Amino acid sequence: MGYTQGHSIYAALGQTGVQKFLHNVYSARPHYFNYASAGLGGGSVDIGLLPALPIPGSSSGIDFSLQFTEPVLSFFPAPTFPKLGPPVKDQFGLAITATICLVTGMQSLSPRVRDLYRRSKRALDTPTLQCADIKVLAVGGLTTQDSGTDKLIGLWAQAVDVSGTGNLDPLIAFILHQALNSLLAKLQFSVNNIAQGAFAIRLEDGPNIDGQQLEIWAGII
Amino acid sequence: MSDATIAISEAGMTTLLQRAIDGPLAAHGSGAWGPFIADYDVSLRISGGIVQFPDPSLPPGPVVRLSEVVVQGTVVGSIGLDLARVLPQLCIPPFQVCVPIDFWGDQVCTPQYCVTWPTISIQIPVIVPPIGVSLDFAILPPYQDGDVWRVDLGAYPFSLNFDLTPSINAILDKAKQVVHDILGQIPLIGDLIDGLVDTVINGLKAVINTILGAIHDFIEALIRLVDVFSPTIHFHAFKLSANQKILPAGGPGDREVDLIIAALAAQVTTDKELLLTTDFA
Repeated sequence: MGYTQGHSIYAALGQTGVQKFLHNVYSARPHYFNYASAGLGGGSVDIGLLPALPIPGSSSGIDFSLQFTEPVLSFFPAPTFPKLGPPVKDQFGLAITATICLVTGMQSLSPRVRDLYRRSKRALDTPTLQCADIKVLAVGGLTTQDSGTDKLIGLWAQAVDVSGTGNLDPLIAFILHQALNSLLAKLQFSVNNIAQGAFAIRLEDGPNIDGQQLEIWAGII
Repeated sequence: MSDATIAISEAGMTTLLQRAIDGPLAAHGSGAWGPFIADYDVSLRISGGIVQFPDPSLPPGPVVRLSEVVVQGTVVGSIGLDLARVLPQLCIPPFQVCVPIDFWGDQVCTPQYCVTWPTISIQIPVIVPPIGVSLDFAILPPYQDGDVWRVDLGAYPFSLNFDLTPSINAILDKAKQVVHDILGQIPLIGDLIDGLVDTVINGLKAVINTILGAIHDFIEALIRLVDVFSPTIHFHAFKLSANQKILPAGGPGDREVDLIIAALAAQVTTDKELLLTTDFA
């Protein structure tokens, strides 16, 4: 039967291809991966704005930042993820590190935030930061959404596990699960992107994840 | 494993090639093919076609076979046919009897009229009947041409094949009309025309292979005018933008996200699919 399985077109993006896409997104749109309150440069072109953490009983807040590293993607079949198990067919695994920093005084910024901060050309303070890295593992599947005559394919985290926050793990996992899906929702791409514009196609089957590839079967429009 | 894969079935390739070749061809030219001399304006319609991938396990050779392409239309212009090269001598009556009438050798003969076949030149539209055409191609190595990657098919020069046999009757009918018109200009044989036409056509059939060969060469020359059938012009089967725009530029900070095609390969698989594999930079 071969690749096409009775359809005119089979198209697939390999795990390495999607990883290169994620890398390019990470480089071109840093504000998808870097967030901070105004005191830490949030609200610039490259740093998304977060409100300062409110202090109960006080009208002031604590400046903080949240940074994600470049996600590392693995399509089924993929290694087992602790607690989450291995991604099964039509699932992906994703590993990412989130770094949360709180301003606790005046000190040097982390190198990446400092770099982005300078790019925003704001006055550079040197707050003291208390940072913590949180290892985030996620297992998820694919979403499809109509977009005119086209369809958009996206990744969606179904379960998230974090480590390094002790008893707060479930709470942090919940927050980062929402943040991760918010990020992934911005990374939807067109079915026709998978065919690389060689011809216009209409999705007939898929998308599936198998053999470390995201696969679709399509007819020619 | 490559970064991206596209496989196209025979049915898919058929759809794509049909779209590529479906359309009119208009051209002007002249030339000589056997007994034919043509100064032509060509208006052809190219349609249909079925793509097959011959077994790739066979020795290296054609990997894409395009068959059942239908070429039809008209060739308008001056078509010259040297009838003397293809028709038998025709005299009425067939024999002439002569009787000497004097000592010096003068004689009187019974009347006989022999047709001197002319080279006819007719200003008529010649119908090119639907002809099934087939051609074999090789998939050429993909290459980057500016901002696109191209996958070309190269026609095997001597693989163009079409069969005019189904068209013989149409050709004979046309010849019959031409001969009928020629004979119709000869006085006193009007009632004999039908029988004479049959005689001529029978003679024409005897040399039909010669005629068909010439017409075949002529039509082949016309078909070669279509890019896809040209052995010297590569047919662009696909083109992929070297810079694949995945996320378009949006608001501030939302810069365009691209994938750059760094390498592209094409091959036919044992499952008879055309496989394109891509690696991104």
